[in-house]
Amino acid sequence: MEYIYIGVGSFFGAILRYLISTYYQSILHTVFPIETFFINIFGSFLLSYISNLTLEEFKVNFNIRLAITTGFIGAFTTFSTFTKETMDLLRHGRITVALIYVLLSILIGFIMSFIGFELGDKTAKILKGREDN
Amino acid sequence: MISNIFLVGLGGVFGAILRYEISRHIKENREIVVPIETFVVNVLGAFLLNVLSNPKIVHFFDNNVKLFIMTGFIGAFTTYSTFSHETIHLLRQKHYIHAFLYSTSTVIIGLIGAFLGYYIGNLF
Repeated sequence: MEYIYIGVGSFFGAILRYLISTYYQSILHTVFPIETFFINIFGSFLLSYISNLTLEEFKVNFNIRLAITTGFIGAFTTFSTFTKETMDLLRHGRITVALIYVLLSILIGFIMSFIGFELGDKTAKILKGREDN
Repeated sequence: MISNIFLVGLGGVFGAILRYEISRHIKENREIVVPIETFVVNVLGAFLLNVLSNPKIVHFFDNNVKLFIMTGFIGAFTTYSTFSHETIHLLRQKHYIHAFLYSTSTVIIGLIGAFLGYYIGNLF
């Protein structure tokens, strides 16, 4: 049964990644793979925010949670493309750009995830305060 | 365009479900806090994508196959958000060394896997 939920989420997650990538590639021609970078750091924020919020405060239906986190956000972000783009940069002698790409993806990805967790805590607190009143 | 979108989505469905199954299986059997299931999935996907996207291999595929397998299936099989999320989760649980080991090994071994994949693709 959970396959249906993950399936629906990932269907839209992968498509959104594809649409954003192709759109950016059509308007921007940067050496730095900015589209994957944004997808991955934004997805990192979203995953931490949503999983923290739904785990801590709201007992959201397990399958719905699976559709959003494992399905949609999991399929939206991608690690394999990140490594492929790094390899492409290295192969073309863009060693500095490759290094910056890897370090920025990791660092900003972590920061965004951290902010997601913190914001999830805060949102949960606010909503809980409302319930208590 | 519509069929391109559909192929990416369909590949994504299979990729994500496979990730879920592999993750669940490893997670049930692991006794350490490091989420090796995501590590395994990401390294494997990095390797595979770099084999297939090697210019010597990629010309065997038409655009539909590329969209279905590479963008859809492998793209959704691997995941970046879970990697960031789990690292920060380990940090918040004060598993500092585990967080460090998990994040550095994912990136380093992921890139080594990617390089190996590319290298193997070159042999064809």
